[in-house]
Amino acid sequence: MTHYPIEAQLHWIVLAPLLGFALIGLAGARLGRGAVSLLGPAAPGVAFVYALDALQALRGAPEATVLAEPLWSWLDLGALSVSVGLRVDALAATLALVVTGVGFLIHVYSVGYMGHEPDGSYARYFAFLNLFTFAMLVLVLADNLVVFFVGWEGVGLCSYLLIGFWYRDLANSDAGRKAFVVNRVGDLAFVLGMFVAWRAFGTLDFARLNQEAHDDGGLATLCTLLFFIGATGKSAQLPLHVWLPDAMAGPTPVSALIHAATMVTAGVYMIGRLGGLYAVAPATLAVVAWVGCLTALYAGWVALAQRDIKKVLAWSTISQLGTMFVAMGVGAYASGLFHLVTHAFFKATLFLGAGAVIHGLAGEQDLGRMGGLARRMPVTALCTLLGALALAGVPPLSGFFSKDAILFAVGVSSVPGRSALCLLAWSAAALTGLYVARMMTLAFLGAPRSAAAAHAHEPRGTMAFALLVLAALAAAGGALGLPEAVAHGADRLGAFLAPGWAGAGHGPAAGAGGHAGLLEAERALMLRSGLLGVSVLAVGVLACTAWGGALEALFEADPGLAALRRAALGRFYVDEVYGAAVVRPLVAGSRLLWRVVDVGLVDAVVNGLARLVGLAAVALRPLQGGLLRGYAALLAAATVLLVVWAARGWFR
Amino acid sequence: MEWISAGRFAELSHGFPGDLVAIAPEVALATAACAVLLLDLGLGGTRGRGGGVVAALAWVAAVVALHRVLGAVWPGAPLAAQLALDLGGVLVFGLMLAGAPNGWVGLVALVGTLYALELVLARSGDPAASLFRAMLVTDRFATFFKVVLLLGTAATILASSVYRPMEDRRVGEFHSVLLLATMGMFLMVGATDAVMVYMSIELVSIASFVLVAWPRGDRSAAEASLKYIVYSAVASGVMVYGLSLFYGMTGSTNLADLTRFTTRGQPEAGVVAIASFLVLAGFGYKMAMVPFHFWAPDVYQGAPTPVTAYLSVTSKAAGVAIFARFVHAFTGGPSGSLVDWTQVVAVLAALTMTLGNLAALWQGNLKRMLAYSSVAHVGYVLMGVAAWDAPQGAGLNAAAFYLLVYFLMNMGAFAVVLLVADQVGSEEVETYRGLGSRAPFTALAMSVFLIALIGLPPTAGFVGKFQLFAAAIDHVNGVGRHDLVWLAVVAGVNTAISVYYYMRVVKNMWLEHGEEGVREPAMGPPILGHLTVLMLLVPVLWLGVFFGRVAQAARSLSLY
Repeated sequence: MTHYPIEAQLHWIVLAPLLGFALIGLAGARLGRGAVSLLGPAAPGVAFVYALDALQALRGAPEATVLAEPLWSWLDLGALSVSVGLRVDALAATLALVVTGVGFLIHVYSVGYMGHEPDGSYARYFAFLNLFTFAMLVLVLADNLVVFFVGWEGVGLCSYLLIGFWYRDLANSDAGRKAFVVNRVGDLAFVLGMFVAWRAFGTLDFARLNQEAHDDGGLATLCTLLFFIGATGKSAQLPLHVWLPDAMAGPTPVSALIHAATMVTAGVYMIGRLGGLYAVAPATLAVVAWVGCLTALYAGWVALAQRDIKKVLAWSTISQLGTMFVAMGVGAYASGLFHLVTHAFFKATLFLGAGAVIHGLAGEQDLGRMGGLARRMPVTALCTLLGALALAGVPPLSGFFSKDAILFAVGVSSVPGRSALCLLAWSAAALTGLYVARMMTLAFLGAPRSAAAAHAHEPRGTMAFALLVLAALAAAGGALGLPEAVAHGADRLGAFLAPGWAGAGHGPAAGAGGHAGLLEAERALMLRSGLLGVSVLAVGVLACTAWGGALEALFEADPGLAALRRAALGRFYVDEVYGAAVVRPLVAGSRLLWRVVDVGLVDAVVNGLARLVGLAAVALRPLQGGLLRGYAALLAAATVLLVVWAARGWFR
Repeated sequence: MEWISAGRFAELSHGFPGDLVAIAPEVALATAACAVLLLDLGLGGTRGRGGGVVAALAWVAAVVALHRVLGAVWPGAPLAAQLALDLGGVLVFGLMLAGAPNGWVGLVALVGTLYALELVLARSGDPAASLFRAMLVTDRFATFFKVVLLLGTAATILASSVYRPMEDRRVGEFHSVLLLATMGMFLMVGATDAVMVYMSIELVSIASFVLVAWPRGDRSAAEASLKYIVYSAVASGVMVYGLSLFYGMTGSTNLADLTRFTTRGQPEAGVVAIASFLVLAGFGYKMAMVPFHFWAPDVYQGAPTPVTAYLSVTSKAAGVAIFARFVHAFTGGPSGSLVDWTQVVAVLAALTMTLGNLAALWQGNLKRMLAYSSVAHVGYVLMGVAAWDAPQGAGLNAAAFYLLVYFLMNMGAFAVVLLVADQVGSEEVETYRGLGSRAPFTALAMSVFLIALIGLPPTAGFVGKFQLFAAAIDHVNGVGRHDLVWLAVVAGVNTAISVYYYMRVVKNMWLEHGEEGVREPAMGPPILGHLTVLMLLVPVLWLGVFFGRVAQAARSLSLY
């Protein structure tokens, strides 16, 4: 057993953001703006350096090495013992680098973006953002489910705090609460899943769960399904996706970090983390693939109709997360993770670009009031364009390779209903190109449609820096995992990640193998998907420009089409269905319980008991009269009583 | 020299030097008590030249003793932790010296306490041993309680150094008596002989009378002390009567002989039961267990606050320890005992917690409320004693752990009462209105202590109560029935009742405003007082989350 020096330092990855949070949170505005601007980004920066060290150690180590730093024993309750420890394998190292790297850039960006905030809320913002980074790293580095869940809830809390960051506006805090409540539904399932897992396998340790997993009596299926329900909450999949679009009420860098790049991918990471366990539950995997695919398609449709630039991106995030779940569901864990990484790059780029637009237009988010921004904000336009092309899957940008890997994996998988799944996945990919094209055209081409758009200004300093770096990553990130079909041994990310799941016994396909026939098929597929990406994009641009009038006439002519557009704009009324089916009955039921059961029954009983207790206390009062004789007499009487009680058997 | 033969001498001095080493902590306490008294007498409590020298020496000695305590608790502690503790010691002890001209007297007493703590900790790994011809034992059970007692004593010394009425020339006597009382409790927790039981209880009682009557000329303190004396005399009388019955039956005062006798199923079983209950009166009085608790509220209210805190924590812990040892002796065997001690203790526990909580409900004086609440807490602890034979000794271990936790939270609550009374001059619950805005730290600390006393997470109170409940629920009697579940239910109901009076204080502090027109001064910075509160607050929260190691230490307690 080799020891790596970095193993004793792993805690710094987690501790650095926590210290940042503690410092900024406790000292707050007293630190001064400059110190907060330095400390805030420094925290994830330090964590990033340590994570890089861990990556170096892992790259030099044999395959499937796990760096571990046990910290302390937390609970020791009979059969259940929970220890707190950090664990870094290839998977965790990849995620940790994304979280700290992209996190660092977004912190830097925030220095500029939040520059107009008053000192107090500026400090509060960075404190929360550091706390989020800490919680996310706890989640990523956890070595068992309980610690994982601490991080899982921690990121949920930070998400809530940051969505409602501008809490003086009721709509924002409502959005925060919606996210919190919807996530609790998923978390309940997650906790139940933990109970089932402990019951079934007697451990909550990731390593042991993955190794000893078996599906006796369907318990593995049950607990993986419950975990997946938790993931639908956190990663905004059908049917618990409703909170993510509203979460755009938070500051845009928050949307980029939490609601695009990191937190919402926790569900995908969880499936990767429990890869061995999921591998023995093929039924769950099929559910995962299908739910992901339907979400991807549904969210793509909705994104097509949105008017708010951030909402378009939010729905696109839901759709892309669905695509990742498709990959996990067909067992192509490495491809799913690859897409997670590239998505973190290009979606963060898009959000930061949108943030630059919103910032430059003094808070305007409506696509209808933009237009022509490419001329006034060329750098932003270029960066956003790179992100958009990557998202649309245009070769050779990052998104093309990761999406291609997933589409290929679906094609060669053995998931139930493969052909239908294939068709839907391709349709979702096509939709992506359409809404991306629409968004880009409306925002950056044509003539300005408002005064703000006409006087937009380019971001400067930290914002421009972060945007440029991320755009470069979005463009070139695909180099991490070029498919085997392009060059032999080019899938470095896949080769790095795959051994982690090899020990699972059922080793799901980590991507395309080296089989010659498959290679040929993949090349053909790449050609097709590349063509699809480009052509759909072109159609989308045309539909918004040259064909715009004709399209509008078509909508007016056909009431069916118009209704479809309204439905897409209204998110297909899922929120309304929840309102009618869940919220309203709940409110009515609560009112009933309050008026009748609570006031009439519970309160009456409790108040009665309280009065009874009070009366008893009053009745006891004379016992404590303060007179010594009384006390002595009571002592004597008590002793006699006890003695008589003791001796009752003797005199019998 | 002829009247004592060599053989007799050897018998008398059997194990003599070794036994003395084993009671080194007791010797240290007694020595410190004498030293405090003599130094105070000689130097007159002034800050003359002699006082200054002693103060400086005591400062150094206290820091060294603290350092050694750390060495005993955590061998090989990193240098940073050692330095931090040393610096903290320098600060706290310096503040004690700076606080009052005779602050050094308390510091000398603290040196003795810390030194005794180090001795106890250093010997904690030793195998259990019977000393002085089975008068005393040193076992892990006693050791755990001794640590709690010494921590309580140290906290009391700290609290009394910020207690303004203590700025008096006679503080030497106070600290001397305090140390002697602690020594008496040391003997109590290790006593295995009826004579030692009685002597140690009396030593503690007499020292306590002096402590309670401390403020000379204070009528309420004098009244409290007198009540205490008389009540104690009656209770001791009853107990000695019981002990004499035992001696009459067994011809021995030894607890082991008693165990052998009670578990043999004698025809005298009835007398055994009567005698046991008579002895119970003595322990019950020391623990303030219903129905022997009547003295407690009056004494706790009348006594100076540091003394109240001290008695409510240490004297109770010692009482529970000696009681547990006796219950262990009475029920030493699986059969033959006439009385079902588990159920007897359980009934007494239920009565104690219920009466304590009901009486605490309507108290307007916070000290009196805490006095009743301390009666209620004895009830919770007795739940663990009742389940003394739960699997792996879970009952007694839970009781011991709870007493440690109870020391922290109750001492903390009393420290806050002391600070507030010092500033505002009142102990009424009403004066806590709006404390949250006037003195946020103090109010926050008080809220945590009260929440811990209720037994809510994430405080140590929750962990302690959880273990007690678990012990009661897991307890199985001879025929495999879970016979203490009802007690856990009673304790649960009682916890619910207690929420009301604890939360009333919290509500007053945060949700109410001080009366119009009456502007109380913002609480000044008696730094030492706040540090004392902080030193109790941190472990209450710490043990609420990281209880593993301490609970583990409390889990391996075994009776000799």
